Amino acid sequence: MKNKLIQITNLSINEVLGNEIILPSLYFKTFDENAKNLKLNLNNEKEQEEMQHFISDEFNSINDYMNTTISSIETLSVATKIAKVAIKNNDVKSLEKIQNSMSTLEQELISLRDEIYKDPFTNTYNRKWIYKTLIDKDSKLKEKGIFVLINIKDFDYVKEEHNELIANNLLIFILNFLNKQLKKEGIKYQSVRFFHDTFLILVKDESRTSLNTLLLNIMEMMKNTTLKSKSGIVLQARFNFSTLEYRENDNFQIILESLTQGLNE
Amino acid sequence: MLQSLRYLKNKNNTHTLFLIDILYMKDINYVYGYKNGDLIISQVHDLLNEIVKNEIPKTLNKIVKYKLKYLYIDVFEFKIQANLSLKKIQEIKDIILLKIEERDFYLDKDNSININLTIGCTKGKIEDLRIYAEKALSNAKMNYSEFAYFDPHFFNEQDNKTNLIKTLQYNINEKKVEPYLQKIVSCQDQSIYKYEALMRVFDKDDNILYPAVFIEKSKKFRLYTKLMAILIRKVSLYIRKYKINISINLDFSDMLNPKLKKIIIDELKNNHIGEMLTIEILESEKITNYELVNDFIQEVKKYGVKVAIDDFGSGFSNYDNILNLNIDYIKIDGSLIKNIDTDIYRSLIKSIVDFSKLHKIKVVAEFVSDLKILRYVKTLDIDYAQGYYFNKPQHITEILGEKNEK
Repeated sequence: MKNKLIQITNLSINEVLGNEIILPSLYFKTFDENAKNLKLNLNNEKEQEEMQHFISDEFNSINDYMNTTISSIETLSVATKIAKVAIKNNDVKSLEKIQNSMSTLEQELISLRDEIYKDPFTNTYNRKWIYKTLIDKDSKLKEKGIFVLINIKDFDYVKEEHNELIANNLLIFILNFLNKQLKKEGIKYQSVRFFHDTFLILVKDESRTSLNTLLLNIMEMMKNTTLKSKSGIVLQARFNFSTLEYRENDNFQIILESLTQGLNE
Repeated sequence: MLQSLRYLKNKNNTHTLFLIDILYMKDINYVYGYKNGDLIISQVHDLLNEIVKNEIPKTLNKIVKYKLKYLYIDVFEFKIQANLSLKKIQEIKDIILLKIEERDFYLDKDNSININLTIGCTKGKIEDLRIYAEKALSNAKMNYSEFAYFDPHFFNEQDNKTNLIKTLQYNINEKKVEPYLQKIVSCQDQSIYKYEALMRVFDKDDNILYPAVFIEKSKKFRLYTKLMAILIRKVSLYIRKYKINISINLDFSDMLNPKLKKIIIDELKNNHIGEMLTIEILESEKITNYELVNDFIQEVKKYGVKVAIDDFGSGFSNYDNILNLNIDYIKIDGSLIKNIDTDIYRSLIKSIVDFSKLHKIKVVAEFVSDLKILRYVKTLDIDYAQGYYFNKPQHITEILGEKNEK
């Protein structure tokens, strides 16, 4: 159910992204249409019950984030008070203690940030991260760079023909292969899971030509490898990509449209 | 006419093909003799016939045409004229494996043995079907598993192969093969000491192809020698034209290759490039005869060529082998340098450096990708460094551009 909802969300966002203004009514309409196409009946009693569970799980996660945040703020407040006294009294032991609790706090905040901004399955950033970090409220990009849009070929085919586990393994294999080669070439990048089978990679300080060459070579290298499931199914890992250079203040949606178009050419 | 129509109809229908291989047949022949080997093969054939006649129709629940025949002496081809689901394919595979592996196969008189099978399977139109079933079979054997199924959705490798062959032939005919150069710098003052030449070829759109994409394949397609010949001649030309020191990589088979050896010796004799050429030899388990390597080294050294051992410290490196070779440089493997910030790797690198200094061999650190690694390299008293911190491999004109700017 959750996977289907994610799939419907991705399809709906993809369809409405081209519009300058997205009214809730347009999103609901598109969502409803895609739900019907994927045979999810939102009025069905059983599916409504599942939806309730899903909403309740999401609520519990939000509640957990809130509790962690509140507890972190309390720790910070206590630490600040102790620090003030310790600095006044030149108390090294207390300061050491504070340093320890600060680093614990830092770890908690990192894991909290990861829970919000990371895709738990691939450990790449999620779309929320783009909206938080890369673009401003007018959808303008904050810095210049190069985008690489990667589409995992055959993901839906493998999921339908074989099963989701094999499709997910294919996705992870390609992602790991890409990561290994990008790191080997010393590329500085961040990757985002943009749709279920699509990743957006942000690269800085590289030329688009050399990046295109590298990605073409990674594609070719991948052709020499096969993937085998436990049940003996041998698959070939393949991906498509398109790249685009962007400047500060470029509109993210327009860039994304060009990238998607490049992917289909 | 009728026959042609039947062929066309057959060609367009989807078939499912199983290749059934008797595992370790050579061993059976070796241990029990060919007569017993033949006996085993004929019993397996009979049993497979029994299975396909009696068991498989029950599983398929419908009448389908099938054919069982010998493909090779110990491999059977079982073709079903139907587009079977993966579930049915798995069921058929399970039946065959179970029936064969539970059976005792008789040798002469009363002795019997058990045998194992490996099965490769695929389905699709009749053309290319066997190629992919063989791929599945070879994949299963390579991974020591009983079964592999090659998904027909991915039947496009033939095109890839043809494209790469065309690309390599285009590079050979047009002499497009190019040595891309990576700087090797002195650790003391970071001045350029020499360049390592790394082979690049180009596709029809002029995109660079990296060695990982084409080197192994070019050996398979028997085009590697031609590529290397162009590379060696271009390196010789650049040495003469730009008066720079360049090193090239050779592996054991290159040294034994009479054509490549002749090209190198001719270039050394006729163009006097020896003093500016370094040959990097990959020290690996593939070197089966160190005497031959030494003969080659002695011969090129007559012309002033320097010799380096490449990737030292990886898998099969051996100090004893090094002592028996007359070499000038050791290039420490990148996998060690990448981890130079950990104590264990640092002490390993230090031991290589100490050994090299003792034997008056200069040391080069590869994969120096940042300042932090370079600092560690300097503290270990390594002589030369190479890596992305200095430059990625570049076309010679790009490097000369840099030189002119200075």
